[in-house]
Amino acid sequence: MTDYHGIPAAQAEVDFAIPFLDEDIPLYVDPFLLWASPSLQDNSLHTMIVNSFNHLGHLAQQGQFDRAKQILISLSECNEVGLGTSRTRKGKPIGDRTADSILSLFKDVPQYERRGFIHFEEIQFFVDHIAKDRISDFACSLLKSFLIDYTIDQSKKLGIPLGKTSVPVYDYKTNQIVEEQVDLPTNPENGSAITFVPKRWLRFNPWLDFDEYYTDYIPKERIRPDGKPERIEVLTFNRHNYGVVRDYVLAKERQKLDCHNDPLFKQIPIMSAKAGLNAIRSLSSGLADRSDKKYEQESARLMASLLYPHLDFAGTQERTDGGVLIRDLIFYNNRGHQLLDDLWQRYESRQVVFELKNVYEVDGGHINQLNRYLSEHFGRFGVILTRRPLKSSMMKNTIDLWASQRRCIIALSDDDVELMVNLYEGKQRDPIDVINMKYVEFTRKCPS
Amino acid sequence: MKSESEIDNFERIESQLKVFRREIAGLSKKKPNDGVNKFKLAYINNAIDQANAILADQRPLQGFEHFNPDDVPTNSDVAFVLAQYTEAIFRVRQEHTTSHRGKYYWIIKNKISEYETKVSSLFAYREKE
Repeated sequence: MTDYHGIPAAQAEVDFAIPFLDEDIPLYVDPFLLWASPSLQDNSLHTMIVNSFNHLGHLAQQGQFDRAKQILISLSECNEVGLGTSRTRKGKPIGDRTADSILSLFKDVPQYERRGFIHFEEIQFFVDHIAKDRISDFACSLLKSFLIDYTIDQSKKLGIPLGKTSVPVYDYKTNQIVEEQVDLPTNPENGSAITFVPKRWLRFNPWLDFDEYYTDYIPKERIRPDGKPERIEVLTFNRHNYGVVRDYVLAKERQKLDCHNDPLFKQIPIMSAKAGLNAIRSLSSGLADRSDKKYEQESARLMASLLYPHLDFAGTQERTDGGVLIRDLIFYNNRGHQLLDDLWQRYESRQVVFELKNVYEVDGGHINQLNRYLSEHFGRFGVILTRRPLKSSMMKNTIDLWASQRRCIIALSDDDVELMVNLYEGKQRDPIDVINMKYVEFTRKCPS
Repeated sequence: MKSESEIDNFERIESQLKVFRREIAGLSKKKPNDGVNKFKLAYINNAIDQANAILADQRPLQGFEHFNPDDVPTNSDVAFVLAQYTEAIFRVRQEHTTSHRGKYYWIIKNKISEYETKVSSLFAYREKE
């Protein structure tokens, strides 16, 4: 999203998860993180979520079951945050039966009937079709009023453009969902509103996790003596044995100090980087034994980690040029390094493309392929990731491109990648310094 | 040497180069291909620049001025250069000191001065101080 607006924000430096415009981020808001947070604000927001959720139970108990159900269904999807696994940033709300099943907990489980929930994510232990995505959506819907203010604040800090839009918001005072006109960033593709979520609330799996509960905590032999119980059997068992769920939740509460948010990107360990380098070194050049595909896999894994946090990895892509299959690595340029700022300003590189060439020798055709691609899609800077250093005639070819079209194409060989891995291990210099070195080397050769 | 203050400066650079060489040699043994960080490189470059001024046309490596931080020099690169410089500086000491009646003195403006020193071999680089 920041890339679309040309805003140089590194994911590692901003407080929120930078959303994608066309798909969800595969992380979820875990309400437990708000409960366990040292921040009083997060704790208060958690209380607000739980109070609002318990109010639905109160409504149901007071004879307003249908109203509670309608609100619950409306809260069950929060498209503005774009979290989860949807490829389209659009989800579906829960159905009537699931909503009934959730609200029935306030009647069927005496503890919930008396005091309500302390951790509303416990509903996943009793209701089918409720998992981390739904928990996250409920939490985000109930927090939306806060998230809107947070998004406006962060957008103003970074200069992200805002537009008038209408979003459904849960009003904590009246316990209703109201349509609010607010200024929020919008998706330029379809005009839908976007809200940001603080990174500190995100996890891949919730701290209170059904899978962990199933594996380590339930007395399976009591539920089904002759084998593994089905999920639905466990849910039914839980409804009649609240104590087992309570013990699990208490155990997890005691371990709250171990509950941390998950990073959006995790660098590979040093051993793994070295193994990746060795794997690349051992590959033959060319297409034999799918070497090109393996080269792409290892290079993508390695480069994404080596260049983090200076370059955020966007993904790999395949394209054809003149009938030849070409594989690329694309990175967002967030100007987090002097070199990247230079590339942005001199070569208008908002994204940096690494073209993978698992060939014995780079020739003029390869350089022209990247040059054509740069013209069409990216700025005027590109990297050829290949096996051996460029021959002097090819080096001259790239210099000529600079002289005639002010294009900068540099090549990284296996030796350069090895140096990057060494720097990654030693931590004395940043691996991106190797790209800077090649860039400086290139500029020295350019005619003044 | 032209003056006692020039000698003091020489001894400061001589000592600095030996300390840097010892530090980088240690790193180079463990990780020869790791890059030297920019902080260390800035101080090493400063010492090399001052050594260049002392050595004038006796510089050990023709064409080498100092390290460019953009070139990502490795531990072994820096260790190699520092070894050359400490030896060149040591030769300057040997050429500018002499013994007289059992004591060692600096030669200032081509004459034995009263500025005392110790035998040159004591100032040779050692891996451990």
